[in-house]
Amino acid sequence: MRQKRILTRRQKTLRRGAVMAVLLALVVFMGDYGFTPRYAIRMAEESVDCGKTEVVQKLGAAPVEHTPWNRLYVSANERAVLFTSAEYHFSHGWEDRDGGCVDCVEDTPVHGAIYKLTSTWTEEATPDDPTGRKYDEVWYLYGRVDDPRGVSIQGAITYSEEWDGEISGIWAEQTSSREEWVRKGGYSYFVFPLYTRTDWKQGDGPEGGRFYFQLKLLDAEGNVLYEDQDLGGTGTTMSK
Amino acid sequence: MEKLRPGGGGGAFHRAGAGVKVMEDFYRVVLAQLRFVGEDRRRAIRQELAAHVADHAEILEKGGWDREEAQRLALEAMGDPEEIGKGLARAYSPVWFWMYRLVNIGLTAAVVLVLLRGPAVRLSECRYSLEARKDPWPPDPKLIQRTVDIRIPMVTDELYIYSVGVDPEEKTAMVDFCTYDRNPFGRASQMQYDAITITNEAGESTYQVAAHIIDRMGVAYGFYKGIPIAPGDTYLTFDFDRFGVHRSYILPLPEWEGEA
Repeated sequence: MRQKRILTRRQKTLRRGAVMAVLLALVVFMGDYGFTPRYAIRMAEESVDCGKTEVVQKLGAAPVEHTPWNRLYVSANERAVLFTSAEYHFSHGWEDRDGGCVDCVEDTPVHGAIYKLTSTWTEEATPDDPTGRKYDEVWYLYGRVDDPRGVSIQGAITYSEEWDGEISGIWAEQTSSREEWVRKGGYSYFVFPLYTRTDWKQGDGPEGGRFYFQLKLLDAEGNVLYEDQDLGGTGTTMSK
Repeated sequence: MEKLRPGGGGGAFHRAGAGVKVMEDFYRVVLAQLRFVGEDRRRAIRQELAAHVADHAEILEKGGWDREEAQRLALEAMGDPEEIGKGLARAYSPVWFWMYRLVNIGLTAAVVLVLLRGPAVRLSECRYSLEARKDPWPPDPKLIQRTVDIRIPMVTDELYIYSVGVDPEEKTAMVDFCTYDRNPFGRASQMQYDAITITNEAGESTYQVAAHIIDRMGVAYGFYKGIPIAPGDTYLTFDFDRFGVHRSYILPLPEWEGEA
């Protein structure tokens, strides 16, 4: 009779270790561990209830300092454009952080929204800056162009000195042309940083006032096809 | 253990069963030295030693020795069992012994986690989701309440408005709602309040007044409070508009003292 092969302890340890690794992978999977950033997109879809989306553009890591390991994505389906800030945590894997969403169902030439990404950290307090709190911020303008005549998007941040006061001026503006947009599924998608400010502190903005976000869609002759003077948006803050 | 001596110590083997006992003692002493060796390997070492003794005894038998004597001499030729055991023990480091045991403990823990954790998380989410459909969180007991049952199908979720309350002193109304995924194992959305507009009888829109969301994964609860109402008001208008789903409902207020 053939004698049963006896494994060495090293072989047995490695074999059982492999089984354990598979089981642990199953644990984290069943416990909703996000193995890839796509899981964060799925979470963002669930949190806005827009249905499954396809990735339109990968923006890579957030261009702000002092952030955890993160990636930004714009994904879309027929009814929505989704902005996902995916962040990696060792214990949970990839998770979304308050994704933004544009409802594209309404029949308008362009659908857009703002997504503000803030990174904050604390430095030594100074008389000028008693809290020592510092910020990096990027304001993205993203969305979908449905009117084929549209060739460029003009985004602007205007501000008022008082909360409900008159618009005092333009804080920042940026233009994106059709060549920069992504064509997918018969639609044109755009996303660009409308405004970036780094290493700023509380009170550097219009104190007591507020920002407004404008979006204009222009045709080849420079005619305004659509204009929104008070664009909505969402955002997230990452702390060091 | 009885010491085995060449030529003279074989008497034990000639007593009935004594040979077997001596051999068993020999193996026991060898194996006693192997602290960091598992049961499988102990069996293998024992088999190896027994085979070695048997092979040697067979050769002696062929050389003319009787069976008992051949076994005794073969065993004696093996040497001191304690020394053999110690020699073998040096080949087995305690590192892999303990590693093996640790992996076994880890493996057991992983199995328990697989069996319990994932399903437990999913089931608790599912429980909250199912609970919300029939028996959602009770509204503020300090208010006069009216139960309603309005369910708005969204993309994958459902919005359930289940109570309208009135605070007669403050002359305000409150609307309680929740969302849950139609799939009980799915997650509830949390941004539906963006899509809700509540209007009082005076036509004042109370969009986003004190909306609050409490997320429990399987269900997200929210409410609008502080909606101004006037004596005589009997209803609110509730509008939902998101991703192409447009719904408008009249929410009857409960009877309250300020009513005309």
